[in-house]
Amino acid sequence: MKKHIGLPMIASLFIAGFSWWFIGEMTAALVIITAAIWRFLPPAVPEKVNKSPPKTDAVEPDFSNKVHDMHDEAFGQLRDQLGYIRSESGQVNTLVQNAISQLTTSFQGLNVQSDQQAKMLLGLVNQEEGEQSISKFIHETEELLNYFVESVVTTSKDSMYLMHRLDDMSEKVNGVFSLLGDVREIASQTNLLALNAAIEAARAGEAGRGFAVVADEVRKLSRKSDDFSEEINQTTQEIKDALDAAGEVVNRVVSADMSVAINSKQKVSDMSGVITAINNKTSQVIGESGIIGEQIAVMVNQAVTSLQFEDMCTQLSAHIVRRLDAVSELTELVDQAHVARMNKDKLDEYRQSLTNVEASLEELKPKIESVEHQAVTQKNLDSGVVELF
Amino acid sequence: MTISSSTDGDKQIINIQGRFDFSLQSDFRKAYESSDSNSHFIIDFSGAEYLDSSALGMLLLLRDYAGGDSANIDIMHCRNEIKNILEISNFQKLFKIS
Repeated sequence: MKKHIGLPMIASLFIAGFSWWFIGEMTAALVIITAAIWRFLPPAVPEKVNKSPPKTDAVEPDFSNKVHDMHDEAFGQLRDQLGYIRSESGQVNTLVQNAISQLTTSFQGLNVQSDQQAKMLLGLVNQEEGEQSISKFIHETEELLNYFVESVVTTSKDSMYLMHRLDDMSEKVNGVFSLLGDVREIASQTNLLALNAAIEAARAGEAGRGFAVVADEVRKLSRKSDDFSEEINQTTQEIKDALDAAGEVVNRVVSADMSVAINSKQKVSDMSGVITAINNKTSQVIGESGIIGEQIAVMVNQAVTSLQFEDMCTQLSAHIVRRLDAVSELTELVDQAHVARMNKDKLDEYRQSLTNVEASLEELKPKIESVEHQAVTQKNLDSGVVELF
Repeated sequence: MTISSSTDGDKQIINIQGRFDFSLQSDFRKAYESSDSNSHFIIDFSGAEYLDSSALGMLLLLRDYAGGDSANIDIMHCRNEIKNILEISNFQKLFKIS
């Protein structure tokens, strides 16, 4: 009995071992259960539709049937699980590929946006024309203010000069008043003298009548002189009044407050300072943004590099599929061995079946070894070697 | 609002108190026209609170009287506001200001 189940036992241990390492405990457990079932498998041949008509064995046919049913059920489960593993592994692969495709697109998009942003900022820096026209405007404003101040100062100087001339004229006019005073004095003296002459003429009687007439004429003249003085006085007074009025006007013209000009000049030079500060700040911000942009690019590249794990996932997926195939084949072999064992009355056929199983196992071994060889055994991406197909 | 002047050798010192404006124009003129045009004029602004444009005109006429470019005029003890006005009018090119 031991002899017959020797080969299937080895095969099932093989399968169990591989399943444990590469598929999962579940599958391994199923395989071990199956193997365990064989150990207790009596050499009975249960009835089964898919197999050659079994020869009944005298020893415990019911037990054999049960074992056979358990075998079939276990193997059914095994095949089912292998199928699920295959499909789930495929799903994982698909999910990983889709996710990575989306991530790659997103990162590339991020890079493009970052580049655009950098270009826009550079565009700001190159606003030389705008800068120059503002500087020019400020410069022209300063020049205008200077011109204004100069013009005020020159006007003031000319006005004060005018004032001096008016003052000189006023002095001359005062001189005229003084002279008129003298003239008045003379006229009044002349009047008195003429009066005295008239009196003397009256005293002289007839002889003084001619002299009296002369004295009278002199008196008239002196009164005329007085009248003329009076007119001159009035006219001169009018001149003086006019000069005073002119002086008032000069006063108004020339008394400009300089504080307006000072404030304006101060404001313009403040504005220059503000604009310089703004330009410096802009340059600084653009510089910093440039640095940030470079850092973004570096990080995006790191991210894209990290996505390389996709290749390893694909490879691992392929390995899983190959291992599943190997396990499937082994499973079928075990099943065949079981069937062969069940037909143990047909000894020749059994031997032939076992030989076939043996041969198949021999074929499988190198396949399994090659899968093992190709497996990626490293645990993290950094030390992983990605194979190029 | 007063002007006082004194002579010290060839120096003619004119002292201005209060607001230096149009109302002082006649006195200011008298103060310097009594001196020789070659004098060294010293304008003392320590008491001066305010300058308007007429004062600037008067200073320029003084400079003309004292020989224009060859004039020897010091404007001293200026307060900040006074200094601002003189600078804004570019007087530092025409007078010695302190």
